Amino acid sequence: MLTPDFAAYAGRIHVRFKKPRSGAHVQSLMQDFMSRTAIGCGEAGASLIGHIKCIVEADNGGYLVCSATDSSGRVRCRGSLKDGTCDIDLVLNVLLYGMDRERIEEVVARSSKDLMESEESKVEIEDLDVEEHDHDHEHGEDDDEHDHD
Amino acid sequence: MELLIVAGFLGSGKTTMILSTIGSLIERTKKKVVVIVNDFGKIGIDGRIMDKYGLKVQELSSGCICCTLGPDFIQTLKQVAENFKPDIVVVEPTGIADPESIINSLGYYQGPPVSRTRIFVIVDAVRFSVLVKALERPLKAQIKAADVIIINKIDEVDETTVRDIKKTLTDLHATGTIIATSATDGTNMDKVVDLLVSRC
Repeated sequence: MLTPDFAAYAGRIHVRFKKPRSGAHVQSLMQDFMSRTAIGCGEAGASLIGHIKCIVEADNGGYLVCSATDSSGRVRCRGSLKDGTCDIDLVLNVLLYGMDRERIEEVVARSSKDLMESEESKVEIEDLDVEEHDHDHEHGEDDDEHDHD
Repeated sequence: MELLIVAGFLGSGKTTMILSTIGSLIERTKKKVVVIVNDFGKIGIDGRIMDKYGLKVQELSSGCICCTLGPDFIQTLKQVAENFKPDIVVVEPTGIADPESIINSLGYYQGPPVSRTRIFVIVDAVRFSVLVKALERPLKAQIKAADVIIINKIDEVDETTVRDIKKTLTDLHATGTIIATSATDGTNMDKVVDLLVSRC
């Protein structure tokens, strides 16, 4: 199922809040981030969202797993974050069709900065594929076709 | 040792399905189960999730075990079989994997014998019609390889949609047992466990 227009992005986003935040607040922020990323990918030209998923781990032990499978903005989450969260580590995978990896990276950066960066919080984004983002996937039968078939 | 491959397209609910059934599988069979998870990203997310749920997980990241990571998978399977001596190894490949290629790679496996291999394929009821149009051939390959096809997320679609999916699966020459479920609300999960447990 790897066609020429398949793209994969993996990143880690670290957010540090100056003051402790409630679990509900951070959870809502994460849902908004995932939703905006999925919508952004759709608007940027993704023809099919495969899976956009993340795991968020907080400094005080809570965790959240979120997932989006289309660009409607709908996000499914499970797990929970606790009150008093100061620091979160988010690992994100975006797997989709129809747009290149650099565009995904831009969408992720914009979503995270717009939603999570402020005077009260600092965001750092790490590209986890930086050394090997050219996935040499050997599903030969589909590799030379553009219609996914 | 039995091998249980839980395949299905990206986002179809493979991890949720494993998490929703593995406890009952262990409870009912009293057998030792190890999970091998293959994620596309450099840092696996699914393995971390399973770890949060207390499962013993072996991760393979940064590629797909049906192709580039095939040798790594064989090596990992051998290590798992020798070190943990499990009765059942559950394998969750990436959502773009062709289960048949995984089966073929087992030809190079030289560890403790595998008595039986079964393939459970999860299909996403919400996106099925879109995926069939966009990715018919690879999706067909997953479906044809399946011993059991699980139509997941039926809580999000109506009965007509489920009926249409079943018809399409038949048209695509699916030969496996078809079962409609929702891993989220638990619909028919007992039937999935029954199938997992059967002849374990």
